[in-house]
Amino acid sequence: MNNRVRELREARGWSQARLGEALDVSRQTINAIETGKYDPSLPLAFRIAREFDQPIEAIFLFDEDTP
Amino acid sequence: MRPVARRYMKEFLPAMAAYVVVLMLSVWALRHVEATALRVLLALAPAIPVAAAARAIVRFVRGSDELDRRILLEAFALAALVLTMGAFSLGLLVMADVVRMRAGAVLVWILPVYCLLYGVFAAIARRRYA
Repeated sequence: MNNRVRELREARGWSQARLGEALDVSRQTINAIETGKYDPSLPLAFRIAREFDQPIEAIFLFDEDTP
Repeated sequence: MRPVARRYMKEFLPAMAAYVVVLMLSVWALRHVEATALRVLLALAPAIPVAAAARAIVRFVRGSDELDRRILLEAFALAALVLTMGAFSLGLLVMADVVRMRAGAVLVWILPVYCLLYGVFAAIARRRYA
């Protein structure tokens, strides 16, 4: 699954640590999500969407090639 | 450091320090005590601080975020798998009289080896998400 978390975070000038703090997850978790190494759970994805004030499908983009 | 990690250090480190002290006292006292009931209590005493350390670990896992929890639980599962496979293989060698070991010595090493394997697998799993 692709996502726009890094793009949206950087547009707001937030650090990974700042976003992690807002979402109550570690900076490493934010990094793993941004680099596509970890797909967040549905509740965390909704929290991320709420944090950026965007619909969830505008942030997380389903990749047809993903197994 | 996240609050959950800080709490873990505050709970885990004193528990392990207590374990070292209780273990030394237990080993020393067992040399001087004959009564069976008292020997049972003294022999089991080091398990109390170890249980406190285990509680700290469980609280750490439950308080971690979802990715950390996945890494930790995967490490716990792989450590258990490798440890039990190793214990099973060792058991086969002992049953075949190829290796001679004291059962107590083997049992006492299960927990430290499990912790070591857990640490190794947690580090490997963490690298995958770095």
